[in-house]
Amino acid sequence: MKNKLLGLPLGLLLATALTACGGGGDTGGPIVGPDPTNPAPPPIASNCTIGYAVTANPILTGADPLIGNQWHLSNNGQSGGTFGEDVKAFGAWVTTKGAGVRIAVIDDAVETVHPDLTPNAVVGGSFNYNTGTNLPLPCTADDGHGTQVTGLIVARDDNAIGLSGVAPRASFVGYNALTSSRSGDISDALGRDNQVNQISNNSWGSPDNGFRQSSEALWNSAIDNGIASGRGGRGSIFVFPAGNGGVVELANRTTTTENSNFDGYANRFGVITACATDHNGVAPFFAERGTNILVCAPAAAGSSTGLSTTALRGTYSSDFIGTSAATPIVSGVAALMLAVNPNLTWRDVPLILAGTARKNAPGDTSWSGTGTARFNPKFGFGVVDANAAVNAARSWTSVGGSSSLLTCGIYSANPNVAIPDASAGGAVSPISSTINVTGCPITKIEYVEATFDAPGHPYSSDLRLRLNSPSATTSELADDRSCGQNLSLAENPCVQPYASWRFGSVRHMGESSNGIWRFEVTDMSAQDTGRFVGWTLRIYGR
Amino acid sequence: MNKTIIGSVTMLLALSAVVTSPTSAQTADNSSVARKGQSVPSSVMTDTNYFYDGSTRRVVSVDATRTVRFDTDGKTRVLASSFSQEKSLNSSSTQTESPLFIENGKRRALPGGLIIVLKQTNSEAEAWAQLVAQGFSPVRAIASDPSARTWLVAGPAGIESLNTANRLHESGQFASVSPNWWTELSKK
Repeated sequence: MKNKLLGLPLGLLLATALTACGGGGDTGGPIVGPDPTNPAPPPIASNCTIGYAVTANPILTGADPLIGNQWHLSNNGQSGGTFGEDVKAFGAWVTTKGAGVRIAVIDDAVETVHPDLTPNAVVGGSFNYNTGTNLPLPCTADDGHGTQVTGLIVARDDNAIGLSGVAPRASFVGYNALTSSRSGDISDALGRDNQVNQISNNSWGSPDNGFRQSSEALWNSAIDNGIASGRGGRGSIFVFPAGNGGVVELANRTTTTENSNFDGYANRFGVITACATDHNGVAPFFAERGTNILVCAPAAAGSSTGLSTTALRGTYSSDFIGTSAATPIVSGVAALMLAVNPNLTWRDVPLILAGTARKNAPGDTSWSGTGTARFNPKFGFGVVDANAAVNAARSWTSVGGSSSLLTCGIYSANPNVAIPDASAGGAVSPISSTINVTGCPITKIEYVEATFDAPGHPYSSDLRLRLNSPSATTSELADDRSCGQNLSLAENPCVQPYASWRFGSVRHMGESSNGIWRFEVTDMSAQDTGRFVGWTLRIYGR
Repeated sequence: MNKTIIGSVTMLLALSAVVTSPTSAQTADNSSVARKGQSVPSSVMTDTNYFYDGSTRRVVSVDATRTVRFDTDGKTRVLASSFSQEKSLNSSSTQTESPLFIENGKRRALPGGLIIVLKQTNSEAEAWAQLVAQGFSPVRAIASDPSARTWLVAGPAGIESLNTANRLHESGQFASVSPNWWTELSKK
């Protein structure tokens, strides 16, 4: 989200080391020379402003000089935040640093030749969708995002330079599909080498402009195929950001808010959705709410300090923030889990992350439930805890992969009733519709999908939507919001009608499926009326 | 259309491909705005088109004030359009430009290429041969489809890409055909 390079001015053409790449591994060791599969400098488009040269770059041994700044790994108040508001990485590292796990970073580019990344880059494993080579290197100074993301996952530890990723001995490949942003490239990258890539890190999504934006069939197929057949049937682990639309600027200089459930990539079953907390464990200004959010990671500090990570041209940055930064931390924790238990399936990983997450911001009033059943639409099940997750992963009994997944529904109801308009004094009672689920064998829910139809309501953002389960818990699917005035229809997300919009929810994880599910609709603002046409329900679990 | 939009068109002003608002350069006027309780169409969304997303037909609007250029470095740039709507919708004079489409605030364009999903194949080699026999130039099988039925094939940029995809999809020869969309995505 934010990028401030240290040391070097932008626009400087700098030769950076291109080295042989180890594949991770806890023993490390010296490199032997240039990448044998790429002996020549990589082809560079004529208008690239960053170039790279081939040099040897031995791996040293020694403490990482910047690791003390990495409060997200171990927070001792160094950024002015709260002691212990971190990911508990050091505790997990006693057990593993991620060796043997391979992560695919899909982003704008990855500086695989960065001295702090090279030791963990897979030789010949990356792919550049612009050049057809296996060096997805940055072309311009705008291409630094993926390098920052990658450093948070796999920057090499104990190599006497820079800092450390959450899984500093895992290996990685980079795919620059985000640069071309073409559907064929994105879909290809999500599935490329998915028998050996265990985790797919995707610090991107739909634009945070307030609109509900659905995913595409090609993307859906990539996720569905990945969880079904990736990793020898155990399923690829896809991690995506919750989004940064807590404050969305609109064309009329007003603002609105976005819900993570409005991004069709972030609310898909099979995706782990990551939110961000700050160095005090509370929600930053850009945070979105959403019942699709599984866990948070510390990824925003105060007004001027963010996360320290690798940056372009062999440098480091210290203010990377956003759910782009939270996502790789969660990916890194997943890598640590898979390192100690490679048999975990795509269903096991989110269950462990949710069950071991740490309750942050205990005074926040949006928490509901207790114990591991607690949930907060700001934070999901809480902040990811690497140490607890690794310990749980070691002895985890798998719930199985796609072949053992149970699905109930799609159930539907078509009430087609008028939604009472709010009065001048405020909202009136909600209108609701129920579905009575019977005979569903799911006793432990893992995910719920609900679609909602009110296509004729001219100002859909008046509506507050809730899904109540038979266990008396509530998914806060959408809240009312405003967008100000003087916006054209094309600019105004508040008027976008609800037309079979699909919401995702992890809120009911662990609950039983049978019983009465109630969908509640409340018009929260006077003017504009419409009808609650229908809704559907689908339940996944075991 | 107000003066701000006209001015930006004639200047061919380059805009960032990633913005916080789909039409942030526009200044709203009272004839094309939605207030609370009012719904008035935007004046810049002058036409719609459709595409097949798998088996689902989706509608996109055309933003006649913008065009999209695909550069050799792989970057995509959204520009104020110097073309008339008619020309930008029908021109095949360039391989590197496309009209700008909007779907629920998400910007799309047509850089060239088609995504074809075959009804059946037994192997990647057979799929390749099948496509070549039908006159296509396969670029690669899409790795996320383990059945090797999903392919990127070469094709022209711009509106021709959309028309070709729709025609092929509607022919019933394939499981589905869609353009190889450029889609606005955000680094988060």
